[in-house]
Amino acid sequence: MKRKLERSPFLLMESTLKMKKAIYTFLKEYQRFLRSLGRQERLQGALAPSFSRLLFTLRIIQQTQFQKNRMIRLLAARDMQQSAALKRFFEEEQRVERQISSTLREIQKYLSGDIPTPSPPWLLSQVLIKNS
Amino acid sequence: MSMPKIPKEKHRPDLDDTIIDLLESIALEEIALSHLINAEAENLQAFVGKDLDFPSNPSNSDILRFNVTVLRLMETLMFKELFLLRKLETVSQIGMQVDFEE
Repeated sequence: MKRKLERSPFLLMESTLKMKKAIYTFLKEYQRFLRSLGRQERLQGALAPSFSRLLFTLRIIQQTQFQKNRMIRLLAARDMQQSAALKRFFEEEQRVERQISSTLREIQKYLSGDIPTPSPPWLLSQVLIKNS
Repeated sequence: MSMPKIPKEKHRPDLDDTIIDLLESIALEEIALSHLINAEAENLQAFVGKDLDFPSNPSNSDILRFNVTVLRLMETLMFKELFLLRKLETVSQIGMQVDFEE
């Protein structure tokens, strides 16, 4: 039986969706990790810059997937019958995308607003000298 | 000197089959990446513990080191994603070229 090229966009779309869901699960766990550090402000302060790096990494992954979706749309355009099914996939993808964005916002808010940045080390040493 | 001629064989895939194989390989690689991300999420969960009590009793530097490991993995996945995008672009280009020539 001859294989159909039209099946490939479905596979690609499924894999993109799986990737997005995995990123969302990861972010939820990362958020839990940050929250579990609780009152350890110095540690939170040290993790804040690395989060901006994670954010940058995720933005590139998002952009890559956006480009990939464009290619999938092009591949899918060969068969109009696929459009309805692909539309459902894209809707589901957008839903996960919104969940990712809202989690990222929550983490950013948590790192920037609620947790104060740690005192610079020189200030700490001054205090230690003063106390001794 | 002429180009080598590859003899026809029974089970050799044609160009369409090759394009399908390549597209499927991209999808499979991406699924593998999603499994890795899920595994990393489980790793985070195990490190933090069910009751947020850090069962392995890590020091602050252990926590920072763990964080660096997590970020490194995500960066590696980002590069892999970029490679997959390039692969998809190339395969689609070949597919479109074939369509155009037909």
